[in-house]
Amino acid sequence: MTSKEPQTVDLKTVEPQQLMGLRDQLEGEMQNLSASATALQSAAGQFGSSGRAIERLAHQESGQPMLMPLTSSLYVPATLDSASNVLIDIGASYYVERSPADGTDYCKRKVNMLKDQLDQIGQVMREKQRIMQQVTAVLQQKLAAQQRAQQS
Amino acid sequence: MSSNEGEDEERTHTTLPRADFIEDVESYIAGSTVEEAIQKLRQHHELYSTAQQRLATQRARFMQKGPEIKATLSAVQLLTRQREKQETATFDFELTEEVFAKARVKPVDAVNLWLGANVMLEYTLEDATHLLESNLSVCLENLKSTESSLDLIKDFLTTTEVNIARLYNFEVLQRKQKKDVS
Repeated sequence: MTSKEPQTVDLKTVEPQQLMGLRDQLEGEMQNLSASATALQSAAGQFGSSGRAIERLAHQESGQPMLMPLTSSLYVPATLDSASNVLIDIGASYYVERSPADGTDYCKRKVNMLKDQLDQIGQVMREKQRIMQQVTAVLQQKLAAQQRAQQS
Repeated sequence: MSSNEGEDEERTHTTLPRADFIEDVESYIAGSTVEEAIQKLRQHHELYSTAQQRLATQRARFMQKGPEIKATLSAVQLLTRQREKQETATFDFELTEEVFAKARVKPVDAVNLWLGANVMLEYTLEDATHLLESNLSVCLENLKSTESSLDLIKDFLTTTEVNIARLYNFEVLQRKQKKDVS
């Protein structure tokens, strides 16, 4: 009944009720997609700043004095132990020890992967937007026709 | 900060009108109409709802801060123990959310606490422990008082809703009686 490919079904043959249902469904999907897009974008931003942070770390020397965070509000004077290893959270509570170069590379790859997914979502969203415009146009035509029929 | 929160709670009790169950509807309305009485109760209900939302946000804030303060406190206690043993330990610290790096911490006498609003102060381990312990107890106290205020407001809300229903039924009965008489 609610066809996902209106190109294969003539929209004009679909009832206004079903058109409204289809439009609501499309709106819901659009909202989900845009929420996903926002999440992907913020994740990409994070990996971007992680990559930059690792790069800056690589320029530091071992033994450099620094303020180390123990919690979000507690800092302790400490010395940098080694600028040759970083620990990366790769998800599912797994951490991997890598050199800064590998670390920045990992972050760059993550950012690119997220950007690709963002592009894909963008494409799907544009397609759905187009379909929704078609549906809305046909719906308005039908409702106008219905009103004219009722008035006469 | 704690005295403000205490006053806040008292204000909740004194500036908000008490909601008492209306035993006798007729004497409650005496001197005005049922509509006016219902209107007044509806206004009270709105006051209670806004207060409830405000308290709910407060409570969420305290629920979040409590564990943070506890974590900071136990970190300071760890450093205190480390100082007693005069050990130098290696830590993995959070460089960013996904990346950790290693640093070595010698036994220290002082730590830096981030107090918010771009203010960071250095405290001795003892002072830091005292400050964090008192912050934690204030936070827990505030949480308790907020929760008891929330309970009270919930009672007010329910009582007011019941009162509105009773007044409404009384009005319906009144109208029916008038109709029967005429």
